[in-house]
Amino acid sequence: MIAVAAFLGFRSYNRKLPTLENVVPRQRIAAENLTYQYEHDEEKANRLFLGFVIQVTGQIAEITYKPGVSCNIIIGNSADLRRVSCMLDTNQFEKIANYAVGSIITIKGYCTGYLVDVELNRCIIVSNEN
Amino acid sequence: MKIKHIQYSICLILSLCISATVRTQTKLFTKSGTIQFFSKTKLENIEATNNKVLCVWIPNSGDIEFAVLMKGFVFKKALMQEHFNDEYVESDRYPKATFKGKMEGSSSISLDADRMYNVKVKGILNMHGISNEVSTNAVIRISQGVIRAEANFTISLSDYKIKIPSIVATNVSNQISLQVTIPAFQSL
Repeated sequence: MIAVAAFLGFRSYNRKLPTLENVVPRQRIAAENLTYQYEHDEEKANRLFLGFVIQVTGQIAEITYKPGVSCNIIIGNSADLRRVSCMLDTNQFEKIANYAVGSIITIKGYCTGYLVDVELNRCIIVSNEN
Repeated sequence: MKIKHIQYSICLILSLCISATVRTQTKLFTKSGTIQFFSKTKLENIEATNNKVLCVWIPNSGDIEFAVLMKGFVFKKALMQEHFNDEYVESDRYPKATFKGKMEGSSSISLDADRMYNVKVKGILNMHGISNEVSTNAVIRISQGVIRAEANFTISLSDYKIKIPSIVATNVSNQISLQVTIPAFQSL
């Protein structure tokens, strides 16, 4: 009994961050709507989105890809100052080859808040079928 | 001839004024700075990284500001990340940490020449709703047009009223080492 408890405790303590593949997003939202909500009432937007997994759709404005290191996608209107910045999970890097600036993309990620852009991390690219 | 000379002088003065204005207003920024923090104890070493640090630096005045989202720190272990956000920094309540300060000697840094500068940065770090004065040495490296900055310093969690539960007191140090890296500033 003690051994089982110890084992479960060890597993829980060393648990890795899960990927977001099977996580149901709290909300599905267009990038422009998300940035609008944060621009106009950051506190209210934080209550809705901060710390939750959300799914965002929009046009790719920028891709910053450092192979093997990081990949960040900015979604939103190129003319807008505020957009959605999505840091991809490392297991998503291969998928970025299917996208380019101007493509429409749907990304699911963990909302960490708002600086210049609305920030999402641990992001995965949602397939078109979803 | 005299009129042409006067017109030339006016143009020269105007261009100098514009040039000085542009230099004065030069702002450098990044949205992809990195902050790593390290907690070292006999039982365990804990580290986390945030790759979305915002920094704005005005070289002429030395003003420098940082902002970081606390939920953006990524840990290897899920439980540690949950405890960090829910219990230590209470990131739902205090989602951001900020630093506002001055870089000493900033105005004498030549951004056009490849060189390394040792500087001092002093300012106010606000985290978990508490503000404290912080001072650290930093290095500015300019190489082939890329302006990079690095700093290392230590803070005490207790100075920011961040409480470590007694059950994990031997796993988490009160003294946290911070490593700040700006890989490349861009012009604003």
